Parts: sequence; C-alpha cells; structure tokens
Amino acid sequence: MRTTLVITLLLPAAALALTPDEILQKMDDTMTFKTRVGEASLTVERAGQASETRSLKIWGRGWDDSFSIFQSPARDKGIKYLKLQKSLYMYLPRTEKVVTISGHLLRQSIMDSDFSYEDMLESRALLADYNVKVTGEETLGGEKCWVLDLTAKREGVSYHRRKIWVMQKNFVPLKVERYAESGLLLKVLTYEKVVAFGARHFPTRMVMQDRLRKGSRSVFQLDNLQFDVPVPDAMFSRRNLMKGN
Amino acid sequence: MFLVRYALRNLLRHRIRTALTMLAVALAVGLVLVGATFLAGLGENVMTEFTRITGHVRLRHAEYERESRFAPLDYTVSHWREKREQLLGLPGVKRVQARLSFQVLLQYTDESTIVPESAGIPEDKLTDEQIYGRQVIEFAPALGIEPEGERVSNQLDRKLVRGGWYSSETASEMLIGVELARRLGVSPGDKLLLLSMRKGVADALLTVMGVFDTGNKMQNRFCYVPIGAAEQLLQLQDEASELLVFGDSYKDADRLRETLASSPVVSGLEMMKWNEIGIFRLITTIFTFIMSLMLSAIVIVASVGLLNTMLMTVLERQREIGVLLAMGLSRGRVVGVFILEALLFGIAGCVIGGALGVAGSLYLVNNGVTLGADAVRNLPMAVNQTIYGVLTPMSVAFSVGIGLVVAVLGALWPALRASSIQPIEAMRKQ
Repeated sequence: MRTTLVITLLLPAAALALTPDEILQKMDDTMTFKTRVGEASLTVERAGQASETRSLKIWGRGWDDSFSIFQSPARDKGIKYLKLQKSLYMYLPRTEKVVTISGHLLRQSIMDSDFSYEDMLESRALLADYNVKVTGEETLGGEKCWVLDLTAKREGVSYHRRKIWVMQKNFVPLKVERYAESGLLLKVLTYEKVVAFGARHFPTRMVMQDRLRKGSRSVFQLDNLQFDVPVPDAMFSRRNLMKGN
Repeated sequence: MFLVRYALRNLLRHRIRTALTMLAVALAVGLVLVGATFLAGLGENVMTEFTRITGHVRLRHAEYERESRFAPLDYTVSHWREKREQLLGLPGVKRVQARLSFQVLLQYTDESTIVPESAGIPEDKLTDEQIYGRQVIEFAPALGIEPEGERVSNQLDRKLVRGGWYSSETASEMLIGVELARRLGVSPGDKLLLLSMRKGVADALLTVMGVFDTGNKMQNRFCYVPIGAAEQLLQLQDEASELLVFGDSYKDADRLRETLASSPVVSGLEMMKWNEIGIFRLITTIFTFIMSLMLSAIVIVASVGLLNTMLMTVLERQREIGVLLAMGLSRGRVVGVFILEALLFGIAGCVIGGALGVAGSLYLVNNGVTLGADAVRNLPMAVNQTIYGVLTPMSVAFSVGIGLVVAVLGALWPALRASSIQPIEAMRKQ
C-alpha cells in the first residue's frame, strides 16, 4: 500500500490520467490528417562524401495513402511513388514502367537514404501490432516526454521493439528507436522543428539514422505544408501513376 | 652374348608364356598412358575454364577483394579503356577484358493480363496485375561485359541454348542464364527492366537476346549486359570491377605478371595470377591432389597386375634356376638372365602397350569422354561436359618407364630369391 502510494506520488498527473495505449493513440491522432500537401527535400549525408539532396512534391490522404513526385536532380525527375494502404508502387519515367515494391524489395533504401520502403509503408496503427508500456519520463531537447516501450505481439513486424519519446504537452513524438529481436538498435528517427498548424502541432524535419550504415544519416525536410485542403482522389489512382506528370 | 642368346631362346621356346607376360606389360603401359591422358585433359579443361573467369592475370582495385562478395562499386578500376590500350602495348599481352560485377533487380512484365482503360471497368474492381501486368521480380548477379571480347575469351556464344548473340557491342541487349530465364519466365525477344538502387534509382529496358546454359546451376543465374549499359545503369563512368589480362597460355602467367609489374599502368592495382585467386587457389590445390591420387591409383592397379604376372613367370621356373646353378652358372648370371628376359619382353610389351595407349589416347584427344550434364551441374564452376584428353611426350615416357621398371623389378626379386637357395633344393621345387 505504502509502495503504491510512493509510485503514485512520483508519477506526473498526466500519466495518471492516461494509459500507455491512450498516449499512443493520442500520438497517432496528432500525426494523422485528413489530407496533406507540401514540398519536401531528402538529403543523404554520408561520412567522407558530398551530401546529396533531392526535392519532391508530396500529397497525403489520411495516414495510409500518399503520392510523391521527385523534382530534382534531373536524373530522378519524374520518379513517382504511390502508396495505397499497404501497397507501394514506383513509376520510372525513363522506361515508363511501374514496379510494385513488395517482398525483399521492401528492405531496400529509398533513394540511397537511411529510410527504407518498409519504413515508408509503416502503419500508424501501432496498437494492433505492439504491446505498450510507459517506462519512464525523460527530458529531450528541453521537452518533457513519456518514454514508451513497444514490444511486438507477433512475428513478422518490421521491428521487434520500439522506444518512443512522446512530448507530454502536445503528443508529438520526438524520437523513435527501432530494435531487432536480438536487441540490436537498427534505426533512430528524430523528429525536429515542430511547427503549429492551427491547433495541430507537426514535426517538419525528420532525421533517420540507419545504424547499420556507418557515418550516414538522412534528413527529410517538409516545406510549405498545408493540412486538410482538398486533394483530388485521382491523385491516388494506380492508372494515373503511369500517366504524365 | 650367351646370356642374350639364352634369354631369347627361352622367350621363343615358351611362346604362350612370353605372349601373356608381354600382354600384361602392354596392358599396364596402355592403361597408365590412357589414364594420364584423360587426367591431363581433365586438368586442362578445369584450368582453361578457370582462366576464362579469372584471366591469366587479374587486375583489381586494391580494396576490392576485401568486400568482393558484395560486388563493391566504390572500388573500381578507373579509366579502364585507356588502361586497356596501354596494357595491349606490353609484350606478351594478347587480350585485355573488362568486367563490371554488380547485383541487379530484374523485372519481367507480362502485359497480356492488362485490362485496357477503354474497357470501362472501375479501377477499384481491378487487381494490380490487371492494371500494370503480371510482374515477376528477381535479384540476380550481373556482369557488364564487352560482348566480342567475351565471345573470344569466355566462348559464351557456344553456351547459348536459345536465341542468339548481341547484335552490336553497345545494343540494349542482354544474355541470361537458363535458370534465371526459368525463374523470370522469359524467352529471347522479351524485354526486361533492370533496376539499380545505387545512388538513388536507375533503370534500363533491355531485350533478352539469348539464353545460355553453362552446365552449372550457379552460373546459370547470371545475366550479361554490355559494359556501357551497365556503367550507365550504375551511374559509373569508365569504371570496371576488373581487367582480365590474357597471354598465350595460362601456363605463362608468371612471365605475364612480371611484364605487367614493370608497367606503371598497374600502379595502385592488385595483381593476381589465376592460381593465386582465393577459391581458385584452394580448388586448384585440391584438384591437383585428387589428380595425383587418381594417377597413383591407376599406376598401382597396373603395377600390381604386372608384378603378379612377373612373379608367377619367375617362380614357376625355379627348377630351371636350380639346373643353371648346378651347371655352374653364377648366381649373378642367373639373375642376369631373368633381368634380360624381363627387359626384352618389357621393351616389346612397352612398344605394344605404348602403341595401344597412344591409339586410345588419340581417341580421347579427338572424341573426348562425355561426363553427362548431371555430373557437372552442381560443381562450383562451369566444366565442359565432354573432357578431351591431352597426350604429351611426358605421359608416353612416364607410362613406358612404369612398364619397364615394374617388369624388371617383378623379375629381380623372385630371381634373387630363387637363386639364393641350394641348386638341389631349387630342382626339387615343382
């Protein structure tokens, strides 16, 4: 009884009010949108090499559907990605072919970056795949965060375990560590530059480090973001993917 | 002179015995010669196939070997076209072949499943196959090659089982192994999408010109594309994984290496003779050992048969030895008679056996022995199904020498033993 009282006094009021599942759900709600339109840049930095930046335009519908077109450099111009739920398609303008990305292709990196196609296909519905618990609180970049520990409920999920740092004030994630079943840290994703879009807070810069690629990191920078604006359904058409830009 | 006459008379008097003993020598000599010819052919076949892959001397970036299993494209031989011209100017260099090894993703799209938009079926009622076609994707090891050079050094054109050769050195065409063709479900004339994820995404559409069968499962998963197309796909400029240098013969690799070492062109590159290359060095050592064992087995089988015949020939004549000793012939001269006889029919047997062996060997040289597809399919490298013999003066000398030595030794020991006992005892022997 005394022990329970001590633990209860030590935990913050917010944690007492929310279960781990609820924190995760609120984080998902924060990161989910009806539609999203914007521009982005993907910069790959590798030790000892010149960094390489690609620019693209992006459209999103909910969490699971997205469409993007690369704008530069010239050799990548016109490459398109269409993500519909759990399916991912890539259009190659040079050969006018569509490649359905599945199976072992999912492990490949996107444009030689630290992000993989598997990362791109991640569902926000983490609760379905993971058991969640709060392991503590930490301050990250001056922000008070809950530290969530997620362990896979079943075989076959991309990462066996995840640790997520979620800001207590607005439920925006600041950092995600992804582990293999052996306990090896595979990837670290850091969310930066959290910007307010009306009542919504959203990170506009994501830095991914694939720990298996030494001296490498990739920065995904979002610009000119607009949320919940009209986006035509035709944007997410498989047939339209093969048509001109 | 008496001994020679006596020995000759003995040989002619017991014609059947002489004939049988000569036949034993001839068979032993023939067997060893044909065996040596076959094994020399097998060795030549394997080494030649090795050096088709490795060249006589191979040049690579010094760091390549460390990560060679990943086919690293960061460690290449740069400006290889210029380097090749310079190497061709060196004495003893006959050909220089550039290759670019990489992993590639291949996609075949069967468009017959596509439902045209004009059919008016809503998109949400259609599967991916009905919109994009049936896609088959395979990762495969690929080799960027210079087609004409590869035809000469690798004789890849002889291994084509369907379709044909490249129409030009730079055409957007490719050859694929029969196993890869089976997995992708493609035939000559089909187009394959090649996709590289190196430094982003790069793609190319190439026509399958031919399907080859090396007889080896592993190599039948390869595909060959013109090196220019490979460089473009991988976003490389004038870069190759390796330069294979060929002289007159793989046996001259030492001299070739010395010539290359004296040239500034190879500065900073790792230079290896074909028999110094990792797996090949191991396989060559094991293969040489097995070849020696096989030759030894042939020699032992032939020698034991001959030795047995010789022992019988001498031991059945112990009474005769006793009589010769009783007549006052010295032990040395008695042994001499038998040695002389052995030499005489040994020489005759060697001539006959040599002729038979040469005839058998020439058959192997001209017609070869077919091992069968299953025997070579799972070997770690491609080997021709038909092994042609290699007949050398050394093999002839070796087999004749074996025949003579065994015949003489086979006579010496029983003659020594028989002549060491008392004449009266020797005469009592049946």
